[in-house]
Amino acid sequence: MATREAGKKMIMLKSPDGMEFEVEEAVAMESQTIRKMIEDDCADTAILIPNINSKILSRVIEYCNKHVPTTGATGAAASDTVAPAALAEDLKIWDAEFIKVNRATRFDLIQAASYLNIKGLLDLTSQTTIDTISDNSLEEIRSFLSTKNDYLPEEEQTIRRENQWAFQ
Amino acid sequence: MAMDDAGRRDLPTDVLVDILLRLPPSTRRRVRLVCRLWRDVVDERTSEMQSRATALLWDSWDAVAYVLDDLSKSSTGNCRELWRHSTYGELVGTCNGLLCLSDMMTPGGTVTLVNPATDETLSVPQLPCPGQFRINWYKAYSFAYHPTSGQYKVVHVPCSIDRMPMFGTVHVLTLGEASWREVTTGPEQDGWCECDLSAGIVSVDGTTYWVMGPHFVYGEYVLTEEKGWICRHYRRKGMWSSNKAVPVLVSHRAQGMLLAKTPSSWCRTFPYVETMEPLSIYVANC
Repeated sequence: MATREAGKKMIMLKSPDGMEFEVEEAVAMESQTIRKMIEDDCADTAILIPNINSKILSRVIEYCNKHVPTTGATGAAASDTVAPAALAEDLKIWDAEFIKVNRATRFDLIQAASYLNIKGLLDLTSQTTIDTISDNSLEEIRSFLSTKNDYLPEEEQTIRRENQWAFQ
Repeated sequence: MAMDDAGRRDLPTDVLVDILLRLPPSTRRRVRLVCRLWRDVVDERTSEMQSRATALLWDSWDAVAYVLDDLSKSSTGNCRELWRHSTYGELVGTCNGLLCLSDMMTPGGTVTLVNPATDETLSVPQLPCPGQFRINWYKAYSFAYHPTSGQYKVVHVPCSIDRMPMFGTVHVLTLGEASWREVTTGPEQDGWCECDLSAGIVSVDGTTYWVMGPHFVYGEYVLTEEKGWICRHYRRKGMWSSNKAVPVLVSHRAQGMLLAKTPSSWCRTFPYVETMEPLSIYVANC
């Protein structure tokens, strides 16, 4: 667990399966949902995050830890010699590694990012799904999302016509 | 180690809405076919199905596109300027609110796509060997959208208005790809065919057709004019057949109604729908 540093406020996040995660307030505030709770003073000692299990929550925290802005700290740590461009490139590589997860985990992450309102994580996790939808046939989209075609043939014909009517 | 991928996960509807809103409009429309839930989400949570198709008038003389805002019976016939070509160019066709233009300066014509609603422009790679034809290059191009794969294609027939050689392949460019492909034509006449560009070419559902005699697309049919008759061509199992063409009766009493006062006498008509479809996603990865 993160070691307590002087001057940094820590916050406790609890998952519904009973795990507790101590994180810096700045890291937790990457989530707009948590930021709002803190700003509205709804969070005193610990915040319970419903619907997100410890496995997913730990990954979300990992993401926030990596993405929390390093500027603004009074210490010398922020003023290293790394150029912003190189830093952004490094983050990109890290993101690409981070998102190498199976589909179920990715959907859980999308859901968590959506609930916690973490824009960067939501962009990252939904991009693969967006790419899949854009680049593939309807049948491939269905199998990727394990959705079934529940149209009757006549209905399908009607929708094809609706789509065409507007666009022909 | 077994992946725990077996458990089926449904995207929550809010997340699905978020994802659908990030897609280009034509894709959003296409995925209404995935399942009922998706259709309902697109219809109820996005403004996609509220865009109405209208008519675009292309003034070939000044290279200006006008759009009709009112297609109803009470239309006053007014149209507004939509987009103006900065150089001398012709409109090849429109798909889903995107305009495909060919310039009239470069031999063979360079093809550009424009979305007048966003003012975004995309240059299409040039044909590999465009130099052999003389005038009206734009007539040899067709711009098409394939509704199930969601791909846009520009098709070029290797003919010109003044030269009609036999050919066995046409050129096809899929938007987003870096180069044109050669595609062999149908099995008719041992794979060789010819094309009269004065009649023009047309693409429907991802297939390009050329016929003798002026023609246009009407719903699921292609109408052609042959010896003073308007004929309707059916499609069966993906094939169009002239044998199945039946003359269509057009009532001489039909007076029609005023839709537009054309801004010039050099107007051609195209379908148009306003769209926020981005073109940047089709920049070829060279």
